[in-house]
Amino acid sequence: MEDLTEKLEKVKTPEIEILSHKGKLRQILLSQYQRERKNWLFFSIFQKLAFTGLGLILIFFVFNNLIYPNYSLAKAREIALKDPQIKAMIEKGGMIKDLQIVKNQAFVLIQTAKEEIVTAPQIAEKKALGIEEKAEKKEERPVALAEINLKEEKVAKIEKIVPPVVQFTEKEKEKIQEISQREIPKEAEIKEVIPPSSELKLIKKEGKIQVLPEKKEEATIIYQIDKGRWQGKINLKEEKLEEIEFLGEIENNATNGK
Amino acid sequence: MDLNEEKELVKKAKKDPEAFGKLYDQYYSQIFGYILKRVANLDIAQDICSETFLKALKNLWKFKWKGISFSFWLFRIANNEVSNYFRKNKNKIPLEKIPEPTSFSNPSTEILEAEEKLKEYQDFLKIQKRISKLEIKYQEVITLRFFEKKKIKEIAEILGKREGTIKSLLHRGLEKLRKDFETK
Repeated sequence: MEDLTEKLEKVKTPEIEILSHKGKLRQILLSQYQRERKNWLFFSIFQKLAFTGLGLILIFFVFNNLIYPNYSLAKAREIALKDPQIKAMIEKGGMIKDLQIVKNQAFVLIQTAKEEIVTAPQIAEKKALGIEEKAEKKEERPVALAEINLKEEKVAKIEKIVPPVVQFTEKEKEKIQEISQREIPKEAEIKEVIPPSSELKLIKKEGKIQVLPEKKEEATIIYQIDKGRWQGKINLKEEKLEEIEFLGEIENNATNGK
Repeated sequence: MDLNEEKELVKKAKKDPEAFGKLYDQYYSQIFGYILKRVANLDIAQDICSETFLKALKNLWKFKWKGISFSFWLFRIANNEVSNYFRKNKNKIPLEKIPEPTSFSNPSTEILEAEEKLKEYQDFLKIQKRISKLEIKYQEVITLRFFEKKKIKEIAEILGKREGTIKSLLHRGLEKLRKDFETK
């Protein structure tokens, strides 16, 4: 390798110049100079305009997608909270669950009271489960959807909506059964399978707003072994039973809610 | 001409054709010489050199002074033009089979003399022939390093690559060249 490097370093390279070419090319370049200079000016102006345009597009994009929506959402919240009807709902324990902007209109989703998740009571503190069961049924409280006119800064409409109930699909049912059989003792008797509590969300669809539940991939299962009643959460994603909790012992006459 | 003078001249060249002419006079020989060392053919070297300076004139408004010689920018254009030439003529005519210009035209005595002068550099022509068989990426680093006597840092500037890349290209290129010398 050293020999080759030495050879390359020592080799005499041609120092040739063709003066006629040098002269002719110089002439051509200078004759084209003014025309090219006009092009430079045109391109430099065009480049500046293009950069300015891009900058403006970027500013417009940032404003339209980041600043304006956040500002509008804050404004919509403010207008909603000033409305006496919504104010009353909030005072009674309701809360704003979601806000969305569609075509210059804001939509505010208000849940009139905190959704209750079914949990079986501890028997040690309460009476038999059978008696309690009626009281602990899931309360499906309606939600209110307020339409806010941002230009006029007022609530245009308040609509009460009954939230859709989340149902298990056939596939989910099969999965729950499979996990239950695998994870809970064979002698256990499944008493109830409760769908997950659904967080309601405002979803933009084809320029319209829809109130849809955001489904969680879980189910609550209540099962009984002898007199003891247990509750567990089936994680459908990881396919396992978790958060197992002993609910207490029940009297024979109160079983199955009969 | 030091860097500051060159900077001023380039600035002037964007407004004044005479200043551009001065830049041309300053760098024509270097650029023509580099192209000739890459292609080893006077006709082709003249064409590529013309194309290089025409491109430089067209794009002079884009040139931004970065504290390095204007010649590096010209070397870069020349290098791209040489690469374009090789790519376009790949599989067309092997370099050694390019016809002598005398068979096509009636060149001036100056060209004929230059042709004769070039033939005197037999050692260079033999090595160049072997280098021209390498991939373009190796040809350019070897030519710039050994025939143009450029430093690694300068080659990196001209080719727009990292110094480490240049070192490794140089190493691999020399290795391939050595193998070629060994086989024949």
